[in-house]
Amino acid sequence: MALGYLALVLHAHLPFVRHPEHEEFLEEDWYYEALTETYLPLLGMMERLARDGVEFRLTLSLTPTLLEMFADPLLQDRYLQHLDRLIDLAEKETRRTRGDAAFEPLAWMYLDRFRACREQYIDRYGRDLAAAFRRFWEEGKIDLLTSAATHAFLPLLSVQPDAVRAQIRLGIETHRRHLGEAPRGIWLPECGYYPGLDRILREEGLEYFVLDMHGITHADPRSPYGVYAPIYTPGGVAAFGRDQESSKQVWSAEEGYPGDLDYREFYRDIGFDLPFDYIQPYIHRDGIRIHTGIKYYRITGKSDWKEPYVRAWALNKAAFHAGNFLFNREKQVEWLAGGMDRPPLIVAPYDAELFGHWWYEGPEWLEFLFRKLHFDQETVKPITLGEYLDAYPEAPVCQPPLCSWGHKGYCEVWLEASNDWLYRHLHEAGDRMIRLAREHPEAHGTTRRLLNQAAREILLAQASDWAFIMKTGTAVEYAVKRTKDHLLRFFHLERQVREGWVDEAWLKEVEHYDTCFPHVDYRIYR
Amino acid sequence: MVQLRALARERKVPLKKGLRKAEMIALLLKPPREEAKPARTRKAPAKQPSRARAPRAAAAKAAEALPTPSPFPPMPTELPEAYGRDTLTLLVRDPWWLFAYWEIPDGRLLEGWGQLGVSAEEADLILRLSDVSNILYDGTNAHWSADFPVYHRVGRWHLEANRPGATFLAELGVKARDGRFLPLLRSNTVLAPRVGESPRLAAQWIRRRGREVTEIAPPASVKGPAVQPAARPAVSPEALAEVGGPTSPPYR
Repeated sequence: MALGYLALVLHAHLPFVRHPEHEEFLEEDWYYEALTETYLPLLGMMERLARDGVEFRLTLSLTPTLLEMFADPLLQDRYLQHLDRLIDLAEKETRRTRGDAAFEPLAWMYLDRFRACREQYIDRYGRDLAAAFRRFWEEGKIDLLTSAATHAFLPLLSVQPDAVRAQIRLGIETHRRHLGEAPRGIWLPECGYYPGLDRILREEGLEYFVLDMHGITHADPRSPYGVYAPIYTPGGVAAFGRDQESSKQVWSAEEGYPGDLDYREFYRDIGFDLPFDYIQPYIHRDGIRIHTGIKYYRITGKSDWKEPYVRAWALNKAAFHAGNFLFNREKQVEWLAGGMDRPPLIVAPYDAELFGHWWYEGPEWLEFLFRKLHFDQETVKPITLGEYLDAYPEAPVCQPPLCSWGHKGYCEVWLEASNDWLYRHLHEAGDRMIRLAREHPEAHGTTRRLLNQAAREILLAQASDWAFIMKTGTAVEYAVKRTKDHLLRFFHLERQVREGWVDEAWLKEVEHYDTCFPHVDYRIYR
Repeated sequence: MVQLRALARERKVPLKKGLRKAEMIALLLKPPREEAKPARTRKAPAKQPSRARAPRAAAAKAAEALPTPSPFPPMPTELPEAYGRDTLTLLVRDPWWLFAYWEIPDGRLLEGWGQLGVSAEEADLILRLSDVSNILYDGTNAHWSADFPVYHRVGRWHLEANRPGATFLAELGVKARDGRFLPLLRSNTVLAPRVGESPRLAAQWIRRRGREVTEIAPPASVKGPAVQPAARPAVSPEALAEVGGPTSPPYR
């Protein structure tokens, strides 16, 4: 019998980035890269574990915007084009590096991986990634959580409870539409919580969510279990707390595993390294050099001097780090179990895209970890959040404070000099959307189309990603443009409804651009 | 590019050969010259469709030769600075800081000066932040308050309060040099997060099965690492500064 449990939670999210107006669009690469490097490798891992009879458990949030992108035919086609270009480049690389003991095996590694992705995506899943994940959900191996529809950071929307509710409600509906069933749990975007949000979650039928550590340890009153067992909020929804120790081992740039010198260096990519004429067909058509995904060096050290990547060494390290992680969890659980009246639960949440995209060996580390959990010991068992709650449904009631897992633990990432101008406009739009929905309880025809599109635009404007990007300073122009475009479109739609006219050609165009949530019903704002 | 050219044809925007994509988009985004002035009356557009639809269909052929503007007002290309209504909204940034944005129409300011019996030069526009925890605020009984001079009738500001766990409310008003304050707008109330471990141990327990939530008696004895309050803070402000992943999704 296990002394305690480990709940690995991966949060998979990307904002809705889809630009039919351009044949190629730089920011769409975020999605294609995440498919090749994270989502498909994770599915591959699950398949191998299932095939080998390894009892693994994973909690995974697939955000509504990500599910919408999975299902979008244009993005499906474009991903295949992207993949074919990568395969073409990797083939060329095997020829260019022929005879080079260090680089040729790496070129083949990439070629094999890209071909495997293609086979997986087309032949095994028929482009339907939601179905691929659903299978493991139905088998009880993974627990799929939803999120707010466009990943809005809810504490800064809290002045408009109806706007918060619309985000939650549409999240659940989108989950149900793509995955067949409503979710039990939700990943609050950026773990953003405020007192009162739990009432809305409860009313919408959700059972649990995850908070950062201080969400639980600063809750009032105090839970006797710290973060090692969930609490209930006054609204009757369970809150799980992130374990800082296990987080740090993986997250931390300095002390964490991903910084190991044998792992692959993210920033040395042939898109920047190789001569322009050679690489030109594989970078942006305007000649902007970009990451191709083919990277030949290991981290090596702090200086710019980089040594070639050695796959075998990197895999050895991933296995070693998985063993180290497990050893630490065993010690942690042994120590905690003696002082608790229920088995301790270690909740270890991470951004899914850390695994594979940033930390190239992350999916392998995870696979080693699940195998070791299964074969090597009996102290710690993997579990999903839902399973733990079913086994231990009784818990103390505590109110967590407003909090997030963002830098410094609250709202500053999304509310500081670079992005604080947003909220006046977002809230004004929110007010008008709510008013429109009340004034039009049963709209039909074109008015209904205007209202539904208005809902899409405001939802897309609310994505936390834009404020986050403005703060981090990369792709800022794009984030500002996206926010403004959606808000301007919203206000123009709102004006047409209010004044009773419609620019049909323009409406069609906007419907063609912003297709997210094709089934949205503006009455989620009522 | 093909789509852009099609769009240009549809909108009757002439495109020269050899334009780059960005230039084309800029041209397309530009409101048609005839429509550039936003100074239409509010009611005008409502009448547009009836006038518009017929000519659109009938004069389609003629239009091929001569570019005609869309009969509809174009979408503005910039967000408005202000929305022309009373607004004062307070948001929580962290346990120590709040954020406010506001908009007050000129007329309200004039009224304020008038009521105080002062001229604009003799009064300041003030944002007053008050701690109204557990009281019915009557304008005078706040536990604490701080005045932040603001200089614009439309603006936003970060406000240091340094009172974790308190409930706040803000007022925007005019303050005469003799100290008299006349609030003109009042904000929503917000609760700043409390920090540190709570001295109270949870006494209420519930059981949840699916959607069914039942209150239950607390267990006779509870064993857990936080049954006793910690000698040291569970999470220090320094540790909180470390919170958060370094990467987040793949934005570069």
